[in-house]
Amino acid sequence: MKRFLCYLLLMVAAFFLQNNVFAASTLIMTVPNILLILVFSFGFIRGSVDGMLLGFGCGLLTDVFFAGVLGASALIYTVLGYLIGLLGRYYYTEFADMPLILCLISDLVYHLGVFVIMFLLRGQTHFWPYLTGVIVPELLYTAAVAIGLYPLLRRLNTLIEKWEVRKTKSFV
Amino acid sequence: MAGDNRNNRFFRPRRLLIILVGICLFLLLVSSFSESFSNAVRGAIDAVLMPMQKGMNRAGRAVFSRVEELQELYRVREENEELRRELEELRRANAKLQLGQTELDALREVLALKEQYPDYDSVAAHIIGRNSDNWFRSFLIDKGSEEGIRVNMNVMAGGGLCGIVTSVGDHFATVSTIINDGQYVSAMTTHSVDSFIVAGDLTLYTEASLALQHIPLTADVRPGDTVVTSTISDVYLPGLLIGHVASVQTDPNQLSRTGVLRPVTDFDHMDTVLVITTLKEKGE
Repeated sequence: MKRFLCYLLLMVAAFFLQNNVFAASTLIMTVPNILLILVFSFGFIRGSVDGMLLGFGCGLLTDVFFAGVLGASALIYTVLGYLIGLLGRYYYTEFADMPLILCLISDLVYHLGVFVIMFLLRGQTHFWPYLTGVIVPELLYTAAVAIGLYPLLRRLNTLIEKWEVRKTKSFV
Repeated sequence: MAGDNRNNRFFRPRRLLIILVGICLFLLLVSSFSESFSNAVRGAIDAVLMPMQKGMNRAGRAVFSRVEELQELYRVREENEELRRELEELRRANAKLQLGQTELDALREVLALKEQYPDYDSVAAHIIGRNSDNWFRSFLIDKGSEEGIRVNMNVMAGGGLCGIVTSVGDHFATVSTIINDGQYVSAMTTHSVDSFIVAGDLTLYTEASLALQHIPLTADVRPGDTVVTSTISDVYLPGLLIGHVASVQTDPNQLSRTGVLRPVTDFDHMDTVLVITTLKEKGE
């Protein structure tokens, strides 16, 4: 339960950081996708369930504030959380902290999802300009932020885990 | 991985995936049919998060403002020169127009014509958040249904049409800008009545331009012409300034022309906008 409260706080913090703090800057035209970093980090470290729950929450937040219909981003983020969780299960190694690769995979999955659901279904078939104009800049910026943020999230996860263990022990 | 196992007893990943995807599809289905449902969900989340959002946005501005101020200074200096020149020209044009206006008023009286472009009522609002997913350019403003904002109200910034309200919460509203891919505005030039389409285009974002589509071959549209919203749109009020024609070329099919439009609104530097509270009447 405590963990879910932490997730909730993290989600809201990431959402604000992304949409209010970073988006207020006009220095760089693109904005790093911090929600995505959150989803793939915990999805990879903790598994599909955590990835999906975070993904669903993050997607729903984005939908509520920015989309006409609810559920599209939530769907993409949820599936992404699940996939990254699977990846984490089959690729679990202590030393393989790989924010770069994770970021690359999940950003591509996310953007393909957005492209298919929100553009291709509307009849916009030109993928190339979207790739160079939208996906690549965001990918680079997100990757740069992920390198710094991923170790922090990892440490936070260890903290929560320790905290949970101590709580259960004290009850026993 | 102890925590994982404990969680698994309650939700198996695959079962949870099916449940969550189901919820998503349900939301998609219901919210695309029922406006009131999505508004209820929005209202609930809005009530909790909105006050925080305002503060965070101010913090974000504070963090980036130092660097931006320097950048701004250079920009402003150049702009100042340009504006001075423009002012000269405008003064001259204004004098000429005033003469024309008196003549027009006289003629209108004679013909008993109703004024075509009345002054619309508007409400000023602050931008408090932007969509950051880079595919869409939409933003949040700090006024909502309680302040009289409704869906489909036109939004102006910097003297030009900037977007349209797409959803409304109690104290916030989402505005989709006209440079959004998939936004179409029916428009015309100030000196002809041929209407064409101003379309948002993701590939023209970076140059802060919009696409002009379906310009009739016979229409008198040339670079430099002023483009305003046309009278035939069902959501945009007539006579709102959009921008100037940058270029026009004939399509390969020789049936119509397309072009590029430079908007007067600077979409990168907006912090307050005007929401026009007059809604286009559809005659329903």
